[in-house]
Amino acid sequence: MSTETRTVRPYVGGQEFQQMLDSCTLRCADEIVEGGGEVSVNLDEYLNYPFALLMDELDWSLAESGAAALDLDPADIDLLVLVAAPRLRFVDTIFRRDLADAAGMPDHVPLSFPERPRALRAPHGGADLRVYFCLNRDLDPRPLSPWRKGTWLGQQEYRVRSDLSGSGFVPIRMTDDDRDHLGIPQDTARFVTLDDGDPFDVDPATDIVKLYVDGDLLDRLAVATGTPVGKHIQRQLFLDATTAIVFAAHRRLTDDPGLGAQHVDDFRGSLVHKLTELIASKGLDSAGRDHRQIEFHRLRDEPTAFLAQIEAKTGMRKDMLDSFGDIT
Amino acid sequence: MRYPILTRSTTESLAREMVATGFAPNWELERTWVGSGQEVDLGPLGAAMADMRETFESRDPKAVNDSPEAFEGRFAGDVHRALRDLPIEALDDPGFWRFLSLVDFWWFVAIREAPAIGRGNVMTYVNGGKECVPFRMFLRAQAIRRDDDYSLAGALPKAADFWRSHVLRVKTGTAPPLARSFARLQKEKLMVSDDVRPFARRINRLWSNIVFQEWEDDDCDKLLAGLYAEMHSGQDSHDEPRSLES
Repeated sequence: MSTETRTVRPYVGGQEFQQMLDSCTLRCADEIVEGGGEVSVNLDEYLNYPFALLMDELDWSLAESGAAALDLDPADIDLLVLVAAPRLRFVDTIFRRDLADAAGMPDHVPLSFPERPRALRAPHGGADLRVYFCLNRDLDPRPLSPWRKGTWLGQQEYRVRSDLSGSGFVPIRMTDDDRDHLGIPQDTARFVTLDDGDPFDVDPATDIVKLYVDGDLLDRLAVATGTPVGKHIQRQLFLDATTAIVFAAHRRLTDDPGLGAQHVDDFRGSLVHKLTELIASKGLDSAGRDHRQIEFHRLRDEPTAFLAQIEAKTGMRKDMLDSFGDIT
Repeated sequence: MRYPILTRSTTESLAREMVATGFAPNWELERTWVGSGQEVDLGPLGAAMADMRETFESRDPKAVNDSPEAFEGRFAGDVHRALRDLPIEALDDPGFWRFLSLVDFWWFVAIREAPAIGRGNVMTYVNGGKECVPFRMFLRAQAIRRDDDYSLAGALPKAADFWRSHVLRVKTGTAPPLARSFARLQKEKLMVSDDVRPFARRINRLWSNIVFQEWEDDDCDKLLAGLYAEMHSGQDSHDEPRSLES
């Protein structure tokens, strides 16, 4: 019999608040981002273009019915907008207003005027925008009801990254000195290490995954990126990096089994979470959360089967077959 | 405003040479500038580092409170105070932290991370990432800063894992009142790692329900005292997220 541990919200009702935030979007330069989404913009857009949280589709009448369902006074609930800098680890409050006059809420919250938030001046680390409906004071404790200040009733998140941010697997040209230093044979073509990096780290360094690739191989790849064999090798390098992450995660789960009992969304932003998002989805709905957790358990219990899921997502099979060309 | 950086490749080659030969680079030639106009003022950092070095060199090497680890915490506030008003663009740039690592902090990095550097792993501590020594000092101080009070950063002399695993790498590090409260409790209770780990996990789970950025120190102190009492009495909190076994 399998065992599964889940964190659940210990009260009933209030779905209206999540429903409201599900209709919010982020306007980011010229793009519109849905809740739970991530957008990558160029440096100029990141630093200079206007950003805004759009709430014009939001049905504010739901605030009243949602509050009534939870037996709460709308004046005890805030709409709260935070902008976090994941690299620099600070969070700024951009907007806060209680729902006593929900009908008077603006149809958008500008994020770049009158002053641009600090995170939107920090392009290396990116910015995470979080929107909540949450209690603005402690209430009298009641069973199955939210009462603590800060308890959220609905939440939405958007991630904004620039050309400079993110944690891609940028190949490092491997020299003979590197091979000596890494303690690997001279003919090694590729090597991946996380050093002491933690794949559960919710804010990984941009170069946490060090993907060393032989210099000659990189040179050949540079002129053959669009060919079947070039695509095949690039996908294989991605899988090599993924395998290193899965090994590192598996070691951490062995050392600290409690990690495996948590929901993978507790590690949002980490390499492990990104891999589950790749296989499942980025959705914040319960189906998306459940799917990610299933994949997280697959990583924990059957790491090779997890890697097979990743491989299938890369479309590598087609590239492998194409790389044979016309050979019959 | 312009600020100095070192590229990743320059940092790597210089750091390896500094480890191997004690080489002293000419920083005028190695650094690159980002931005334009007046240079950022690194004078306060230079003064803080001079003070730290003087204190370090006159320490009692056998005293626990004078270990390199203890110095990292004790001087984290001074580092933050010297840098906190610099442009956010500089503080966000890993290249700026690489510059500080090799130019201002190298004498300390080489001692603090000597075992890892001896195994060939130097870049982790100078590359501007989360384990980069000056950057992690800055983040620790930021996590517990209250106005100009940084005393909690150095209140736990042998606590590198506490800060790394339970504050800086999790959301707790983004909510100073919560981080302060946790540090105060740890200072008082001195939980061993087998105790602090499940306790920290309880805090992490609460983030599933609560926006701790909305809390003050008193709120956090009360909550953590309650969690601590529960953990030691085996009772469950009635508002903590429940775990369902199915």
